[in-house]
Amino acid sequence: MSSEVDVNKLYRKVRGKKIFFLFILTLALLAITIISICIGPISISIQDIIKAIFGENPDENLRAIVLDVRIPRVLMAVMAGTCLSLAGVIMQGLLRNPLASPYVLGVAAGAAFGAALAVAFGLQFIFGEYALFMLALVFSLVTMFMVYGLASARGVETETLILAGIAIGSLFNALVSFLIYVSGEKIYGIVFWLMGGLWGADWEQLFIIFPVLLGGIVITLNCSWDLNALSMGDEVAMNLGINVKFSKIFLLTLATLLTAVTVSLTGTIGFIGLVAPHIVRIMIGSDHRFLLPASGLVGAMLLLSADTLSRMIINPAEMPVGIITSVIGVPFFVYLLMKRRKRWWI
Amino acid sequence: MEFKVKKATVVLTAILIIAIITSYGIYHFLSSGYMPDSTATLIDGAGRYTTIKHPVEKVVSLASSVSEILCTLNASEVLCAVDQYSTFPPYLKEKLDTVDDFNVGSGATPSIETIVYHKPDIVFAWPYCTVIDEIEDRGIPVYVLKYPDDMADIIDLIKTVGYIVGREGRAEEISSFMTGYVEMVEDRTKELEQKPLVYFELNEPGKTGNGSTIAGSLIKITGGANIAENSSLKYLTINNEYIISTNPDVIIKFYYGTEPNEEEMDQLKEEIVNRPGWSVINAVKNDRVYVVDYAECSTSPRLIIGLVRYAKWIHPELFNDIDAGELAEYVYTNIYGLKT
Repeated sequence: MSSEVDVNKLYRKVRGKKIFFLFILTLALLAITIISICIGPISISIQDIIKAIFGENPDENLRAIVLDVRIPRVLMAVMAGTCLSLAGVIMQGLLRNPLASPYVLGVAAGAAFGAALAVAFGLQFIFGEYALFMLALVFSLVTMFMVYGLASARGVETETLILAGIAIGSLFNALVSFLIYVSGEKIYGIVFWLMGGLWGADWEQLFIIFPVLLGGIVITLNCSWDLNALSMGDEVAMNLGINVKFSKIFLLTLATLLTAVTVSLTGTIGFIGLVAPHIVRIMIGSDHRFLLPASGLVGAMLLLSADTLSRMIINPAEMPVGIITSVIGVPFFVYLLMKRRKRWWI
Repeated sequence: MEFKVKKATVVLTAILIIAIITSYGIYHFLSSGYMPDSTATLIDGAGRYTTIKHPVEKVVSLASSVSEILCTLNASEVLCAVDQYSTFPPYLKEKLDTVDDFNVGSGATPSIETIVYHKPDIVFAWPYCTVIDEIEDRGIPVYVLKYPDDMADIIDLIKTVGYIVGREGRAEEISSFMTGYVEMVEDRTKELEQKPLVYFELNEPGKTGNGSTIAGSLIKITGGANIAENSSLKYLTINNEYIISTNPDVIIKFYYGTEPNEEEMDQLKEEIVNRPGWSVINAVKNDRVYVVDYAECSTSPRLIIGLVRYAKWIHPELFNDIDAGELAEYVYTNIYGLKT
């Protein structure tokens, strides 16, 4: 049966290529991470960085810069980028919609509103930082299922879903503006934070996002076959023995959780969750077993590069990272839209 | 009989009648309060020519700074409406809350209807006001303010406003009081070789300004060196590690409450002191992190209080003899006419 052997061989060859691609991406991310740790408004040589971390009597300012500011920020960019991309992949696959992403579906706006609400009422002083996440999560879940509900009321069509997302997203944006308006100058950070920023990234925040990310990676990788099936359509998935309704709600909740935690730590950062999965699809196709980790890596690289740029462009001033991701993301998105019209999510 | 009227009588009578009519006219003219329009043409802060009645009697202020300055000039009665942020002195806030038509909304998008209703002689507005042309189209002159860069701009503004409302004397009094303090502080700091590094933070983490902001100017006058002095951006978000590596000796955090609240000000200080990596900064090590009420550092005579606070924080050894609290009390009683 020579043809069968050929298919297996072919499969193994393709799979090998994809694994190799993942390997290259990992190396690239590692390289960008190291570069990002080494460059900044204060140039520090790699020897000094190693000395600052492991040395016996390091310069305490250098140590503070490297350990308390730069490394947490770089790691935060990596994790936030990964979370947003994973959320993007899940949303695009489940909703069978190439334009779906935390930003486009209004989920990020919902999370922003929840967090802004917490800030406006000073809840973080009463219940601690977790009030922020809880409210962000609650409102992003509300958005997600409102959008999904609105869209499925008419049968989930590409346009309906996006329009529902835009509508509800604008509603929450308006509510955030309202909060800022009524709270006046008291609501210090909200505007800045909505622009997207990693300025204040610290270890404490990393300890919050890390378990969420880790859980997200493990769960999504375990569900990658389900995602493959679901992205072929509900009927196909049902015939493959998948509890469609449960899987959808479970995975959408997971994607929303990833978004909510990221948004409440960094503000809304657009286009990472949209663009990263598409870059990977163009290169290695849409098998979720590879698409998920590869998108995570690409998203991490994108956000990390954007943030490093934002630190460097008008040194020592900073550009809000949201501006840079949008500037990179929008032309790319238009390019994608023009180039590949069909079959980009299966 | 024929009447013989002497020519002289006719002439005298005529003169008398004319005199009576004229004097009645003049009397009527004066008593009606009608004076030929005395006008003044000014160049406003945006470099535009504005012709106004002088002195003006009815003012709409879309800038809380001008509202405040007018009150210090004892001219609060000319204010027929103000923007919603003109809440100081407290009697303005009370009027905002109680009098209809006194509140025109935000300075950026005020209610044109309310402005036109008052028929003011002049409207003061910041350049960010979006309806300047619409107001002028209705025949109401608008004086567009300049964003102040330093102390001198603010003293100029007080004088200009004083001229516009015809209170030059009082304006001169206030501005020379302020100039006196500025000169005293400058005098003590100008010879200094050692200038402590200062980082000031506005509403958000990392948000600061360069040398041509009011806070930047206060730091310069009080003999400090602003870590963002030479930035090309007037306001910027400065990099976190840059702050740590420049290692400021003094940190000044702005507080933006409507009324100073000790507890909230302490919270702000706590937050800064506990930022990751900031424990190595000199200002944190030496407990020289201060929180200043934003209102004492903005465009108004209260700025002088901010100036003295900065001076004492940046060079405590040079300004031992001056008590910022006493100065504040003096300013609030004698310039603002508030009982403390």
